[in-house]
Amino acid sequence: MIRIAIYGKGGIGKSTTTSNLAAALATRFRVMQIGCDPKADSTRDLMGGKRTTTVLGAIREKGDDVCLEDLVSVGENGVLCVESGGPTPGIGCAGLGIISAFQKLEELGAFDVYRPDVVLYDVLGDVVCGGFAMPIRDGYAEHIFIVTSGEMMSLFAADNICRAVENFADRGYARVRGLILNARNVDNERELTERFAREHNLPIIHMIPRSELVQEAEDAGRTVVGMFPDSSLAAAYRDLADQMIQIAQGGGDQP
Amino acid sequence: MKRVCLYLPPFSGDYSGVCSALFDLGGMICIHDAAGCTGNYTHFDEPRWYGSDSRVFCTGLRKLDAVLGDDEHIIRRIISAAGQTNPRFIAIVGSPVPNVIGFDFKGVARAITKRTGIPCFGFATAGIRGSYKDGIVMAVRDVTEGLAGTRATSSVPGVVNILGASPLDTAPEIFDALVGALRADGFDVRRKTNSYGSLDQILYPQEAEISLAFNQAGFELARLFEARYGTPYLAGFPVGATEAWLSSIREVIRSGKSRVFRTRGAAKGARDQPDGGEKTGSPDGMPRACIIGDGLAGSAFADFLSRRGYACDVYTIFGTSAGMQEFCDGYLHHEDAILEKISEPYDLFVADPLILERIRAGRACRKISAPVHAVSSRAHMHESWQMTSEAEWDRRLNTAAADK
Ligand SMILES: Nc1ncnc2c1ncn2[C@@H]1O[C@H](COP(=O)(O)OP(=O)(O)OP(=O)(O)O)[C@@H](O)[C@H]1O
Ligand SMILES: [Mg+2]
Repeated sequence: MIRIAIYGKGGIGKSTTTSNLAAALATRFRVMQIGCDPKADSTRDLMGGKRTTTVLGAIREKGDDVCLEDLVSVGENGVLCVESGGPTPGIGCAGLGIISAFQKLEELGAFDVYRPDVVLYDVLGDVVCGGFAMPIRDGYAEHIFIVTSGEMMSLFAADNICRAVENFADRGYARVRGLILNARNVDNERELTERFAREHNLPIIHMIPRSELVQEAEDAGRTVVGMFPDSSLAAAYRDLADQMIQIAQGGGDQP
Repeated sequence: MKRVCLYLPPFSGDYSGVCSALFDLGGMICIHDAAGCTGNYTHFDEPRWYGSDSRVFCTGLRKLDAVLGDDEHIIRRIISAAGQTNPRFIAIVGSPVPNVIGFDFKGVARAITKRTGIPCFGFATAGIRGSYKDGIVMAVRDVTEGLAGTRATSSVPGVVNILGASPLDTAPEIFDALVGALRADGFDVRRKTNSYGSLDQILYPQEAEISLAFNQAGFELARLFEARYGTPYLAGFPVGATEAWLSSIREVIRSGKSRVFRTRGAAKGARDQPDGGEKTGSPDGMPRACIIGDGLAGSAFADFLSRRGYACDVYTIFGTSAGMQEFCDGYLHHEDAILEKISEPYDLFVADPLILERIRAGRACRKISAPVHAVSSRAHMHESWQMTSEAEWDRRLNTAAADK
């Protein structure tokens, strides 16, 4: 089982990228995507734009009677979609929500039952508290990829994530394996990102161009890979997917 | 509201199980809490605490540590304490607050190991789910896995490994009697005086020819050790019938086939009786007994009582164990279920005194008090008696009859 966590600044395109990756990988692997965000919108492009039941929502509704079928929905290309969910904005504790959702999935043996080959964790914005570091702990994801553009704030967030991971170096957490450049078409985007990558000794795995196809697919509640498989953008996502798997399997550059 | 206890105390939690299993193995135990769980454990759940020099520490978790996630502060404290005491291993044991804030026990343990070179284990216990039984199992499982050495690749004749025994459910006099019988018969029990375990059995699990289990925790571990090291087990202990037990041990070692110890084949359960559960006594005249506590210990008592003509039902209150249907009739999940069970028309109840107290006054039934530390703690510990002795049981059966 290959377990990958996708981090990056809020709104940078993590969920879009992760869903397209999942759709691309699902032609070869059994893929599970776990959205770790109280917004619970990680898998919307895989689920026809629909909102799925979240883990915490199901627990709230059914208590101890929750079963795996309540938590896992099958989306585009057969991707197994899970949303951790979380509290209403302004109340509760989102970090604890992620922890509880993960504990529930573990308790119900989600991985033993569904046996995914690849698990993708799509984790909200910056690592704000312990809960959001949960996906990169020992036993969860082993590889971290950071989605970023060339924008300063995005690279700043990427830097913060690298530091957080560095802090945990002796705890056996996941390692950052590379950057995914989701282009925003800012000036010198490539150069700025490359400089950052060099400074952090990380490869830029792939550049995903900015494209209207993303919105079009999103409006239809689908992924680019699923809706426009012949587009060059879909090819870029598939290429990205291949390279990430290679790195995760130990074939890529070791940072 | 089913988890609320109105009449009975909450039973010892998973963190106490972890601490109990590791108590006298020469490690340093750090309970990560503000002092409440540490107090619970040392004052109420660990009869060996007073007068012992075992190192059980409290990390002294404070609000700001929790808010800021200041793990480094705790790591430094643990490392400095370890520097002074030089333990064989370190265990960080959880309580509710660190669990709520998602403290990463395994990750922090790994960091401590890396910095000190001392093996460190993290246990994400909270005293909320499961019972002490689960704590014992996770402690022995993880520490054995982490420390097991390879001194010998095959078993050593005569070496037995008693797994999961703890004063939380097996009083010292019971444990001592069983160990005494084993030693008198020439078996090598790896255990220091006055201790329930030893680091030896953890360091060299492959050396045991057989695993012995006296409680459910031991049973779960014995199954695990069978899968992991190929060691067969005998589950259950004798009440009287020591010779039969010893020869069963030899038999299991010889055949390599694990089993539950019983003197009478499959004991007849009260519920198996035609018309059972409706009225006192069964059609063929067998009185009915209900035994509540640890499932495996209960089955040992049932084995004896069935020799005295009782049809017995055994119920655990400490959680299920895979495979327990071999010796236990069910799990009473919560207080309501226990209260309901003791209102059923049995002729004899064997349970902790706090449970027996809840039996409606004036009910015509016999009661035999079998104190369990995980239930009544210090309140009834002085009433503990030699539960492996037939004579003691007979004496109580007779007095119980007179009370009736
Ligand atoms: N390559 C792209 N081309 C054009 N638009 C894109 C591209 N990638 C993402 N977007 C758009 O950016 C917006 C934000 O994307 P997305 O929801 O995937 O970000 P996110 O990082 O998951 O956000 P959050 O942190 O809020 O979870 C979406 O409306 C999406 O359509
Ligand atoms: Mg998102």
